[in-house]
Amino acid sequence: MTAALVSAPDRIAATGVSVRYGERVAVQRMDLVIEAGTVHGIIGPAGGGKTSFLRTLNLMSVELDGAQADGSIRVGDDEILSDARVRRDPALLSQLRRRVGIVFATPQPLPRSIYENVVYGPRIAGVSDRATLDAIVERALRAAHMWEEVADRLSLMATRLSGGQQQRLCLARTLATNPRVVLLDEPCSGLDPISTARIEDTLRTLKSQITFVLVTNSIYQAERVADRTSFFLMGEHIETAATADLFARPTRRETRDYLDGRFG
Amino acid sequence: MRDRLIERILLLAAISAVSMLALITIFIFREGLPVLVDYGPLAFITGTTWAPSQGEFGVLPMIAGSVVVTIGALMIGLPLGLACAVTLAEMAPPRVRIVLKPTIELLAGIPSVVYGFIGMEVLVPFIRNTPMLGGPGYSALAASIILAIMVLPTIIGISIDAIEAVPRSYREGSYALGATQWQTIVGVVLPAARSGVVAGVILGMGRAVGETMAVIMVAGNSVQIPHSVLSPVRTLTANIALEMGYASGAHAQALFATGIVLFVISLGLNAIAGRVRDRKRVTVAAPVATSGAEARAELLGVEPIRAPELGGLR
Amino acid sequence: MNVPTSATPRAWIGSRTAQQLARVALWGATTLTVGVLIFIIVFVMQRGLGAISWSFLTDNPQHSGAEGGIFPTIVSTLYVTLAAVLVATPLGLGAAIYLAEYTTETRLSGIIRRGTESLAGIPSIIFGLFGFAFFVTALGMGWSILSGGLTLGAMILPTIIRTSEEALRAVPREYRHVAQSLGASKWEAIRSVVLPVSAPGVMTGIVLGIGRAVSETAAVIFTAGVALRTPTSVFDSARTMSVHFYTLTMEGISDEKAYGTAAVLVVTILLINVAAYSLMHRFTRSLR
Repeated sequence: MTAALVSAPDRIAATGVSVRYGERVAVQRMDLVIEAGTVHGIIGPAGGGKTSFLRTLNLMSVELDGAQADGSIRVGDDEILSDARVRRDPALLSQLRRRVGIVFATPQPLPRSIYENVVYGPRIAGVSDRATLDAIVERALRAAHMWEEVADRLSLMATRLSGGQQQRLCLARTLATNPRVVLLDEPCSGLDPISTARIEDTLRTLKSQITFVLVTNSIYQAERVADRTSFFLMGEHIETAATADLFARPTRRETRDYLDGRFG
Repeated sequence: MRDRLIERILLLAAISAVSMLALITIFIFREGLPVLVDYGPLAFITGTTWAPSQGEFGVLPMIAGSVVVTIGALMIGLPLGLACAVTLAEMAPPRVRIVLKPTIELLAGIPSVVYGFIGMEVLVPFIRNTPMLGGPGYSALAASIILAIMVLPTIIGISIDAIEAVPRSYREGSYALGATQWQTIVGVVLPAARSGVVAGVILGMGRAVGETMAVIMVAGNSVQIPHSVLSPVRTLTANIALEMGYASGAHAQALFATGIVLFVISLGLNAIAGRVRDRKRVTVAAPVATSGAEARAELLGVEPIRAPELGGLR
Repeated sequence: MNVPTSATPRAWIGSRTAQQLARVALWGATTLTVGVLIFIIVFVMQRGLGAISWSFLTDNPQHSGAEGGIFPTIVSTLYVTLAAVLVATPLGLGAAIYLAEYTTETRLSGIIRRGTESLAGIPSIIFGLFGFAFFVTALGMGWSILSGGLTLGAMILPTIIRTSEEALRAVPREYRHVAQSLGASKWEAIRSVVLPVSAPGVMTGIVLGIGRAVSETAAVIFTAGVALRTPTSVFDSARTMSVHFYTLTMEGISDEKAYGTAAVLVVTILLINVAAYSLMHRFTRSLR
């Protein structure tokens, strides 16, 4: 891992993917292609399976949430879901998580300094050279548009930051692992407008190098940043299209109803 | 894989406690079982003569001693402890509680020999010289009192936790129906905290049965079935501790056999306490990690109360 | 506690008296209980503090403890307790990590838990018997710090397991998720995030274990022995403070020295408990 962000963004191809928790089906069999180098939005009402799907893309749903998932998910050239080797091998799993990063809905800074938060991933990956780590920290914080704010107080406890700053920190620390995909699970819910704008800026700036998958409960946010958008409803993948097309000319009635505000 | 190896190591550590338990069981039984079998378990438990030099190993007097002393300790400790717990949990202003609760828990850490010593210096002469009591002073009564004092922190601590774990809504429902604080405590809070308190009492009982040093110092240690609380008694624990230093051969084995009896009783009490606690194990949202001494208290069971019962207040 | 007393129809008068009576009775009981407990401490300290002096703590005893100090017993207590902690902490923490992080509620974890709880309920004299039969005799370690330390280690093991497991469970689940989402394996996440966060809670358990070990007498007498010399190796027999106190009182050697030893013991326990409390306090604060 080097200091500079050199990654070619990955294309994600989900084929025949379904996710369930015991008896409850969270995501019905679906196919979806997420193009490399784009921001792909996922919208839909709560409980629609958006988060379950998202967390399956880096296998967190099956490894940490206790879900069972079937089907095939290819990240770049690598099969991650139907190939059992990936889940059996902790090294491969770690590699996957670094390659497909995730930002959670509520900011979860680790109880340590800003600096330590950002270098956590690289350290685990084996980077120990101080100069390299410093460079990574600066690069990641710049990418998250918060370098100027915190450059002089990197040893501040991350928990002392405001909510918006914490979330951008979480984005920065994910970026520090040189991911090719970053999953974002309603990252801006409850954040102030400035932080929201900064995060959206990051997505726009970096999408040529990273594929972003953005689950959002704000259709306006999808309109602003997403190149393509998918609509999920009650576990079913209803439709996917270029964002402008989806909003202007939705082909399914359910999509039209949701966009019109018939249900939240 | 390093991760798998670590998991195996941790599993080994986890089994250590169980292995230790197994080891203890094996060795205690190994030493004590032969004499128990030879002498006959029934004769051992019901025999009233303990005269090792003549091969007589009846421990009934010691069993009686342990029983009397423990029951006495609970008769004193339970009402006092529960009253204290109720006062501190329900009635005391927060400032008082914050001071008193840790103090009481601190007292749980005082070595048993210190309690025994004070019993020897203060309690025993007191009993001996009080007109209504009398006797040698070294007695089951002295032991019960000292044990009650020693067990109080346990009962109080666990009862307070059980009472505090009762949801506020139960109390508020009761007050809303016009009940006084006392009626609420008796009719709603205590029944809800019942299994927690009972578990605490049984735990206290277990500690009382297992106490050795303090009892040796105040109970008198004569081998006889007590005919009054003022009689000197010898408990199972005292029996072992007093004679272990010089026993050998069958005598030593008989002491191990006494240990077996004690062991079985303790485990039994422990199992009952666990069963009581587990029966209505409703995990109430308790505050994260309470004080260190409370960490000793187990997770508590709270009886769910159905609404109609709230109306039945005395 | 606000008791609604606004509407008091005649039917409630009885219950209001009951309330007052109950208040009096309860507070009376509490005062009595607390009074007795405080009396005990005051009693010991009053008679014992006077005997404590620098020489008391650093001199060797003479005439079986009727004169001189208690230095060897202090050293012995330290060694035996240290041995117990060295044995119980890795095992206890390891067990706690396994129970908190690596199992769901399976049959195995149920057995482990029940075993740990049972171990906690075993009387100390049984540990003494066991230690004597196993360490002292069967393994041939004789009356020694080693035997005593191993026996005490087994005694405090449940305490450490229980407290450590609670501390680990108190760490928010999200920390583990975050660490693993950044590439850490399960163990790496535990080692680098969960353990440091739970450290004060774990320390509390160790400190409590130390407290229990220091005040233990029955198990120690039959495993570490009663030699009144300052021990020089783990195979030496050693007399701890509690055992020394017991000997002084039961054999009537010296009341004054006995009180002094008791005072030292009580002060030690006090310090240990204060340490445990402040650690726990720090821990719960850090989690907010």
